[in-house]
Amino acid sequence: MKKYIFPFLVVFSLFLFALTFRGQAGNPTPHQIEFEENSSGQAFETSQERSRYAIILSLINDHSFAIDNYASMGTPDIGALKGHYYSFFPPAVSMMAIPLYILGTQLGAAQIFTFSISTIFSFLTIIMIFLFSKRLGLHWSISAFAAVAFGFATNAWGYSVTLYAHLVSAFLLLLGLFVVLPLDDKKRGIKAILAWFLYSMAVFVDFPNLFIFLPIVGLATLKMVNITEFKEKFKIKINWFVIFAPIIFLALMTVYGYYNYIHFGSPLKFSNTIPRVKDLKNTDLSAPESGTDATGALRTRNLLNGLTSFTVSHDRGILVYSPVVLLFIFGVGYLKKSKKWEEAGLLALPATCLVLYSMFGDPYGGWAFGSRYMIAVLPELCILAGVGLQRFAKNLLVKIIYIVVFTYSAAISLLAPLTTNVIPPYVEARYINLDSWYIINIRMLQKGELDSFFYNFVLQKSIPAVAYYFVILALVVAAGAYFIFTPKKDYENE
Amino acid sequence: MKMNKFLSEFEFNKSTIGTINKFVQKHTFEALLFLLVSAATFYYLFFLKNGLGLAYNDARSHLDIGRRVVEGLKPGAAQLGSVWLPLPHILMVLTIWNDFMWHSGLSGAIVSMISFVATGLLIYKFLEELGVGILGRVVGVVVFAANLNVLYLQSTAMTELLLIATMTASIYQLLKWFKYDDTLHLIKAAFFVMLATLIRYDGWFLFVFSSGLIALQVFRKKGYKAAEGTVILFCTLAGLGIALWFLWNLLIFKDPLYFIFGPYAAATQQSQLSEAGNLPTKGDLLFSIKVYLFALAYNSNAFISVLSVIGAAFLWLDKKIKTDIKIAATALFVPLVFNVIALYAGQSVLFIQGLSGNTWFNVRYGILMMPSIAIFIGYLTQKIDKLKIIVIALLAFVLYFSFANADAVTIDDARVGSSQKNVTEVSGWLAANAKNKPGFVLISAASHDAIIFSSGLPMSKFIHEGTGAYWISATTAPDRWARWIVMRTNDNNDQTFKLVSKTAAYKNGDYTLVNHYPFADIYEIKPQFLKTINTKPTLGYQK
Repeated sequence: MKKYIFPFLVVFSLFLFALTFRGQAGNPTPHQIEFEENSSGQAFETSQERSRYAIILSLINDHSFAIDNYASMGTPDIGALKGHYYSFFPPAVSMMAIPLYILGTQLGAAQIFTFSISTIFSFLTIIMIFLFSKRLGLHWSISAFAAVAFGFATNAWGYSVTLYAHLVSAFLLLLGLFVVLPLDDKKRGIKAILAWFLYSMAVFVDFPNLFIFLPIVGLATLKMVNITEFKEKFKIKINWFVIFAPIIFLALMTVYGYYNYIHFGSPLKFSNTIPRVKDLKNTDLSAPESGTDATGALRTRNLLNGLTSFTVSHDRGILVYSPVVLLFIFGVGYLKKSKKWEEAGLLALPATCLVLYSMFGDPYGGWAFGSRYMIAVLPELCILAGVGLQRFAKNLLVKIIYIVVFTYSAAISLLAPLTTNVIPPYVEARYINLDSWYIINIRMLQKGELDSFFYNFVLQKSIPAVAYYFVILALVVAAGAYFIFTPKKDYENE
Repeated sequence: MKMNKFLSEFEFNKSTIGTINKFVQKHTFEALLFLLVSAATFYYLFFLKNGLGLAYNDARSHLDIGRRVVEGLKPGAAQLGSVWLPLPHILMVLTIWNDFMWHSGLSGAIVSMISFVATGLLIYKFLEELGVGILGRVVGVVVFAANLNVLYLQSTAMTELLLIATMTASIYQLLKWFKYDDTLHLIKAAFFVMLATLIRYDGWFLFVFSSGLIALQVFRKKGYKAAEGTVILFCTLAGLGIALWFLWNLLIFKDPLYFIFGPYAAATQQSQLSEAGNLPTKGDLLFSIKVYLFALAYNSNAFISVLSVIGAAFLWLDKKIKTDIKIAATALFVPLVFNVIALYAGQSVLFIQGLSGNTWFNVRYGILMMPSIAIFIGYLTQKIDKLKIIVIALLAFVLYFSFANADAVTIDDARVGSSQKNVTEVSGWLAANAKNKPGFVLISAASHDAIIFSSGLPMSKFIHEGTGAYWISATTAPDRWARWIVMRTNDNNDQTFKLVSKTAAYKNGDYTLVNHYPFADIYEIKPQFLKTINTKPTLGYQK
């Protein structure tokens, strides 16, 4: 199996994505998107998909970033300025999806092809986790476990088959970390430039990456100085290439600043700070997406609620939706001294993301499945969970914990791609008498309300939805169990 | 220095690095002292200038208590009263005679500021005793000092910082006694516990807890006899303040338990709250724990609280730390345990907005764990190798936003919570209309000390509960003594109304209601009675 693990991982991942891919064939019109495919359990169930899709349609048809002709389908996540409508979201993901949209349009499946941008990045992240884990010295099956755990036992799965930015961010962050580590290798200058370039890309994709990516460029900057002990002296080498690497970031940010200047009047004014339009008849000038600046949007008073929400709350908590990533705790403190920077990097990204979003006024991510804001940094936690598995490779009890947690996580995670990502947060649900946890997904599953393209197109008349769910779950759990129980000893310390 | 295309190479002698290292080791303490003093001064001036320095109703009351000892119709030590423990007011007496020191609040704030600096340095020394390096020690001090709630409270005449300083000092000395077994440290610990017992009742719990720890330690090492002797030695000094407080209550109020059962005691107020259903923590342990933990998290900020829990776990799970040290360090949890017990027993009231009611009240109690939190995080920084960079960077990130957003729950409590009392309308009226006219103002200090303070009038202008014969005379025949009366009409919790409402002058309508305000009403005697009213303190010296 060792020999075939990589092709297996590729085929297995693509197969599972194919089974859970959301939507339907055809090239949906703006009217269909806004009025026929916008309810819970459908491809355009949230304004996230609709607003990003609106940018694509506008760029293709009107050659404009303003979505004036498609604004209605993007509400309420759009804003208005100087007589034009704009999506609140950065345009990068939509721009990346354009080739797929064009291809999809030609083949009569525009939505499916466009949404596959997330799938592609999710798949790439899975591969990257595998490679990263291998480079850390993890056993091949443990590396595969970490990769599968992220792809198919976290709420990332639900967002891998729709049009969000989380999976693109996840890939860029992990790639950035992969590039800058290990710190003591050669080609420091080139890697630093690459890291700063990826930083720019990550900011283009999602604004908060401005902060979440910081540890990576921090590590890249650490590469600048190399201190070695030699007899009675310390030798300090400074690589000036690394010092000048941020120039590429500044140059690309200038481009972004120019984009903001052209459209919103100031280089530092992002699209999510313009006045919100809840519907086209009502421009609510007082309610931008995130306040006027980062300082206003991030408040330490929110930390208590934010941390609780992200970790243990029933409506969003990782403990409830993706507990497999909490197995990272087994891996902390295990890596050898020479790999301590790897450990630091793997912990720094989730910690930064958690603290950042916990200070945000809406840690719930609107109507969502689990803590969607954390998806970007779940790969790092899955890798550390893999480290933990390697550490306790001989410990049967720990392995049982792993398989139980993995099975539960996979069972919950699979609900989202098959049904919906739209679960109201408790703070809203309690006022409108709705549930605020995955019981909503379970009910949809029991009623056979699946949005899986493959199921609806091929199997709907053959097997019940619940059976379809359990077949896929069985595949994931079987793979996970195999990967968990294959390693028999502590390979790192052998 | 060599230089390639993009590569520069420098060389340093190890001895040079060693010299720098020694310099840093030697002068960090002094540098921190300078920075702490600078921060204390800057933030005092900052809060004085923006008017928040005296926002707490209690801060004004503390200042008035100190002032009454040296100025008023009946000055003297008895004015220290029994509502609050006396040490903060005794320390104020040294400077409160000066009008500027009184009305600027500096008389009380300076005690808090010194306590702030001392606590910062104690955290540094505490971490040093735990074997933490320079970086960890500095991080610990920064976590404590760069907290806006701490900085605010150290700029006011509140008692939290003084309590924090004395408790931290006693726990630090206790740690050293556990570590070195030197009796001098035990005596120092007892001294600071004694001081703490004269500030707040949290100190009393520290006294009991420390005594228990000492008994346990000596019993473990040397047996019962030695334990008995050591505990008696410790308690003799540490318990002196408590004994003196009982004695004080007996001498002044004829009841050693007056501070517990007296009409102005906290317990009395809490029982009123309880009867009104406003004491939800009473009898509910889990809710008491939750409320205090929320207060703690809001004061320190939740991220820092979480880090401190991890730091505490590191400390107690560290096999290199001796059991003796671990036992001593349990005293760091005294504020947590005491406050939970006090809330559960209904002896304390603490409102968290959104959790218990829709306002803040006494949320500052959560700040008492701040030195412990700082110590745990300092220790964590020492223990996590390269991960310390993440912790320090995230701390900087969070602290930046806490300052940028001016996020201080204690300020909210003082400004808009139940701990505030905006009496500017009443005090403003008095300042404008009573300042330059002869005559006394009859008022209950227990209910309206903030008005007395904010009016800016001399203390000798007021007849209140602590003025002996003046109070008795004025509440019996107000038309003989009180040109103005400030009271809450129809509220028998206001002692002035309770007594004055029974007098003939009030019933006969000798006073005109000048105005009705949210916190109190102002009455003025009718002009025809002005001729018969006393405007000079004719009763002379009173015992």
